[in-house]
Amino acid sequence: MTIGVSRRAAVVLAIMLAGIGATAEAQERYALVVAGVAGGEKFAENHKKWTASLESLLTKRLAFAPDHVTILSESASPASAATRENVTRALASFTQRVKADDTLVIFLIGHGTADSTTAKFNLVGPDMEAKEWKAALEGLAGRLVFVDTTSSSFPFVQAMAGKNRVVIAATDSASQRYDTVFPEYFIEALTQSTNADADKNGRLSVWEAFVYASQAVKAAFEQKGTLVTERSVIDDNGDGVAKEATAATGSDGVLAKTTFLDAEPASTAANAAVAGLERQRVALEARIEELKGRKDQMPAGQYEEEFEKLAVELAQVSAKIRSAK
Amino acid sequence: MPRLTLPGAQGVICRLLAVALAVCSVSDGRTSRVAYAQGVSDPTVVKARAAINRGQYSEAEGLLKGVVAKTPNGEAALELGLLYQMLGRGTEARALLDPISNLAAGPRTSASEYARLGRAARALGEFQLSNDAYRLAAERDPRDPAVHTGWGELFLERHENGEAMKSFGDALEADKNWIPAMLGVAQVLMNENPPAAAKAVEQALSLDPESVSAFVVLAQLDLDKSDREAAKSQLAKAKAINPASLDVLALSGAIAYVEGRLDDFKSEAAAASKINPAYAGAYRVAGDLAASNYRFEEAVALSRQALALDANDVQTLAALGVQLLRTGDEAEARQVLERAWSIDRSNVTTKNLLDMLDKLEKFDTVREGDIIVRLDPKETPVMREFVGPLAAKAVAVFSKKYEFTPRGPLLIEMFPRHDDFAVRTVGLPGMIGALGACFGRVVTIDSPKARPPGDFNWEPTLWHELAHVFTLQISNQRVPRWLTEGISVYEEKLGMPEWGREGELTFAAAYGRREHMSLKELNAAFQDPEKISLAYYEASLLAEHIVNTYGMAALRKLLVAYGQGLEGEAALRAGIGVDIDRLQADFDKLLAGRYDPIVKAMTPPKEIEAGKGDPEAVAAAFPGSYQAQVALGEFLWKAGRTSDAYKALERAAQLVPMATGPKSPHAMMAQIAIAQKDRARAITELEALLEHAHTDLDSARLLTKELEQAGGNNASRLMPAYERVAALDPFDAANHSALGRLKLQGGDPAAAARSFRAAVAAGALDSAAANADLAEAYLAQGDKVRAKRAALAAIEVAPGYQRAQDLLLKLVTP
Repeated sequence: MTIGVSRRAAVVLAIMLAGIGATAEAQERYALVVAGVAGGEKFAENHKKWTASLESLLTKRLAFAPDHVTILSESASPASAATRENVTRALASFTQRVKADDTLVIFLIGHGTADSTTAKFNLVGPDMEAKEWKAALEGLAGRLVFVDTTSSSFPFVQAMAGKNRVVIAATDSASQRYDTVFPEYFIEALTQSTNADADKNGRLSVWEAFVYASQAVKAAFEQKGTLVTERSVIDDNGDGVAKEATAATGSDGVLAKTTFLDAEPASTAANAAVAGLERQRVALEARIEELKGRKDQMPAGQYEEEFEKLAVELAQVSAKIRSAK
Repeated sequence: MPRLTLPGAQGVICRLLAVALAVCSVSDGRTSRVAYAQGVSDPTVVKARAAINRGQYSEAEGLLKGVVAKTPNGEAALELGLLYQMLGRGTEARALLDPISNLAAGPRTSASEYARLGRAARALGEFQLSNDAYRLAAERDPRDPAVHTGWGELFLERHENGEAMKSFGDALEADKNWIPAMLGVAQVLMNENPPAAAKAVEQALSLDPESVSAFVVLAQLDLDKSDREAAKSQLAKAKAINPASLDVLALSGAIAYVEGRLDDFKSEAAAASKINPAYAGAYRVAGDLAASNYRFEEAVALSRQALALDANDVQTLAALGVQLLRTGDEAEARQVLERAWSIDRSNVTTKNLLDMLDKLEKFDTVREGDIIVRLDPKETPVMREFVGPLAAKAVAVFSKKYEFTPRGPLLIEMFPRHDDFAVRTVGLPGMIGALGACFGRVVTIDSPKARPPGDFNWEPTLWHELAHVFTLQISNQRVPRWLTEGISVYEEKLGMPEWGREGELTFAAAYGRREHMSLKELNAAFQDPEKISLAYYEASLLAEHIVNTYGMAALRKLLVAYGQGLEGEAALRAGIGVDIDRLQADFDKLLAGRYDPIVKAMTPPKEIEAGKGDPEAVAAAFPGSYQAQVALGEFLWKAGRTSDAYKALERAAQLVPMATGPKSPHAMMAQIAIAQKDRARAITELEALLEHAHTDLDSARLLTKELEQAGGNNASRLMPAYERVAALDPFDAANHSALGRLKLQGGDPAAAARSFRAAVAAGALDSAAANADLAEAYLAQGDKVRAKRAALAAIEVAPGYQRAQDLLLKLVTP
C-alpha cells in the first residue's frame, strides 16, 4: 500500500515497517466508547446498535480485557451515562493506567458541532470542546487511536493530533454537518476484517479499517445517487494536517498501518528452520515492495517478469512455513 | 419512462424549417398589420408587400424600385433588398441592404430606423449588429410589437428559443392581435408543444386568413403528426394565395418525395429553381422531411443535392451533419459540421455537436461481432462486460424472430452525462424524458450513471432501441411511429418478465378515464407531450394484440408492407388482412377484458374518497375495491393486527397485481414481514413487488440482503436478485463479487469471470480478494494465462495473501 507517499518513499517505509511491526504492538489495549446524546429516536437506534457492536467487538473478537473497556452512553445508568463528568473521569483513569507501550482507543458516536472558534462533541448535559478532550489526554503515555465518527468532527483532528497518535475524523470540514454513516462502515471493517484486511496478512490495521470505511462511505453515497456529504480523514504524523484515504499527497498512514486493535499473535518461529523461513518471507516481501516502488520507471514486461519471480518465491516460502508449523 | 426513439429527429427538422420560415418571412402576407416597426405608411410599400404575398415578385419589384430611387435607405429599399435576396439576386440585394445596415450612416433616431437596420443586418448575417439595433429600437419604443417580433425572429434564427419566446411575448403584450408574433410563438412551440403551436397559428389565421406562413406552419405540424393529407390541404390553401412561395414549393416537393411521387418532387424543385436558381431549400427541406421519416440515408443524398446548388447553405450543412451522425458516419459529420460552424458561429446545435464529437473521440471502442460499442473511458472497464453481450443477445433473438439480418455495423454509443446523450441525439441538451434513441443503425443511450441509481434500467432500454433497428430496417425506415414504438415496448416485455411493465398501471388508470387513444389517433399521440407515455404503452398492447391474433408472420408482413411504401389502411390490409375498424373493435375487446376489472378495482368508493368510514366496514362493503383493501391493510398493520393486515393486502394484490411503490400491497407486506422478522415472507413479498417494479433498486438490494441473511441453498433465488442489482447499478462491485461467486459455484466460470472482472473494474473494496476470485474463475475455465495474471494482481495488492499465493503455485507448478 503506497497511498499518500511517493512510490520511492513508500519502499523505504515498507521495508522499515516490516522491521518495526513486531515491536510496535501495544502491550495492553484499552478502549473508551462514548455514545453522546442522540437527539431523537431516529438516531438513537443507530447509536445504540453501533455502541453495542463496538462493545461486542472489543470484548469478544478483539479480546480486550473487560476491565479495559469503558462504555458511556445516553441510555445507561448514571454511572455509565455519557456525561461530561463521567467522560472526564474515564479519561483521567486511562491517563493513569495506560503505559508507554499500551494503546488507548477512543470512539466517539453521536453528533458534533463546530463554528469558527469551537468544536464540540455533544454529551448528555454539558458538552465537551475539542480543546477539553485534548487537555484531558495531555499526559497519556501510550499510543492513542482517536476515532471521532460524528458530524463536524474535523476540528478534532487538529486538536487531538500529536506524537504517537492516530486521529480519524468522519468529516474533512467543520461545515460537514450532516449525520454521518462513517461509523456504520468503520464498524463493518472491524466486523468483516477479512474483507477489510487489504494486504491479507491476517491482521486488520487501523489504516486498513479507515481506508475500507472511507471507500465504503463513498460507495454508499454513489449508490444513493446523492452528493457526498462526508469525507473521512486521518492524521498520524502529529502535524494536524489530515488526509483522505485516497489522497496522493501527505505522509500520514505510517503509524496507522502498524497499529492493530487485535492482540499480537504469538510468535510462530518456534524452531530455527521456521525462523529462517520467516526471515526469508520478510525479505521477499520487502523486495516486492521495493520492486513495486520502481514500477513506474521500468518497462512493463520487465516489471511483470521480476514481480512474478518474487511472487512465486514468496508463495513457495509461505507454503513451507505453513507446512513446517 | 418513455423512450423517445425519433422525436429528436423531427425536432431538428422542425427547427430547421422554422428557421427557413423566419428567413423567408418577407413572402408572408403581412400587408397592413405587419411592418418591421410601426408607423410605416408608404402606400406603395404596402402594395408591394401585397404583391409579394401573392407571389407577384416582378410587380413588387417595379413598385419598390420607384420608391427606392427617392429614399434609398427607407422601408422600400429594405423590402426590395429582402426580395432580391429571396430571389437569389445576391449582388443586388447587398447593394440595397448594405447601406441600410451601415451603422455609420445616419443619424438614426426612431425605433423604426433601428428596426430597419436590425432587419437588414440580419439578412446580411450581421447578427450581433442586428441584435444591437433591435435593442436600441426596443429602448426607443418598448411598446412596438413589430420591433419585438423582428427581434424575436432574429433569436429564432439564432436558435435562442427562450429569448425568441420572450420577444414574441413582449410583442403580444403590446398588441395581443399582432399576427407575426403569434406565428413566432407557433414556431418556438412547434417542437415542445405542437398543440399550443397549432392554437397560436389558428389564432393568427382567424385574424389574417391569407397568411401563407401560417398555412406552412400548420402543414408542418400536420407532417409531425404524420398526417400528410392534412398538410397537403394546408399547402394547397397557401398555394392558392401565393403559388410562387419558395417555402410552399419546398414543402410540397418534400411531401411528394416521401410519398414516392418523384416527378412531382422534381416539378416543384424546378419551379423553385425558376424563381431562385440557387435555391437549395427544395432539396434541403425534402432531406429534412426524409430524415424526420427516419430515412436518413436518403436525407443525406438530398442534402448533398442541396449543397450542389449552394455549397455554403449553412442550414443544409448543419442538417447534413446531423443526418450523417444518424447514419453513423461521424468522420464526415465532423467535416460538414465544421464547415457549418465556420459560416454560422451562432448555431448552438452545430457547436454542441462538435463539442460532443470532441468528447466522443476520447471514447473507447469495443467490438462485439458486427456491433460497435463506444463507451466513456471511465465506464469502459465495467460496461464493456455487459453492453456488447446484451446487444449481441438482442440482435440474435430479434434476427431469429423477425427472420432478418440487420445491415451493420450497428453503432451503440453510451453516455454517462444525459446532456451528452441528448446532444448526440438531437443536438441540444435536455430531452429529460428520453433514455435512448435509434436511427436505424445507430443507437444512443444514457449510461446507468447518467441518472440517479434506480431511476431507470439501461438493459431494457438497449433492448428496446435494438428492436427499433429491426423494425426500421425491415420497413426500409418507413414504419410508423406507433408500430415501431409498440413493437419495441412489446419486445421489452418479452425480454425479461419484469421489463416494460412500468407503464401498465398508468395506462389502466387512463383507460378507466377513457383517456386512451383510438387507433386512428395513436400515431399523432406520440407528438403530444401529454399523451406520449400512454401512447407507448397502448402501442405495445396493440403490437401484442397483432401478434397474438394474427401471428408473428403477420407482424413481419406488416413491416414489409410499410417497407414497400404502403401506408395506413392499405398497409394494415396487406400485413394483417383487416381494416382499421375491425382492428379497433378487436383491440377494444382486448382492453376491456384486461383492464375493466382493474379499473373497477381501482375506482375508489366514495367513503374512501371522502376519507370517512371505518376501514373494516368499508372494506367489507367493497371487497372488490383495491383502495378499500389497501386502506384496511394499512389500518390493521398500524393497529398491530398483522395477520389480518396480510389478508387485506393479499386481497388488494390480487385485485391489482401490478401495483408498485411504497404503499403498494407487496411493498407493505414486505415491510410488515421485516418488522416481524419473518424473513421468508419478506423475501416472497419483495420478489412479488420486483416482478412489476424492476427499477426499484432499494427493494432489489433489500431482497439480496434478506436472501443472504436467510442462508441455506437459495442460489436460484439469489441469482436473479443479484442480477437485477447488477443491471440497475453495474458499478456495485460487492454485488458483482457475490454474483460471481454464485456463478462459479453453479458451474458457470465464464459468467463468473465476467462478474469478477466487473467487480475489479468497479473498484472492489477488497481488491486482492476480487482479483483472487477472478483468478479462480479463469482457472476453472482452463485459462491459465489470465488466471496467473489475476493471481499476481492479487499478490501485488497483498503480497502475503495466502489464497492468491496458493493459486499462483497451482498455476506455475507443471
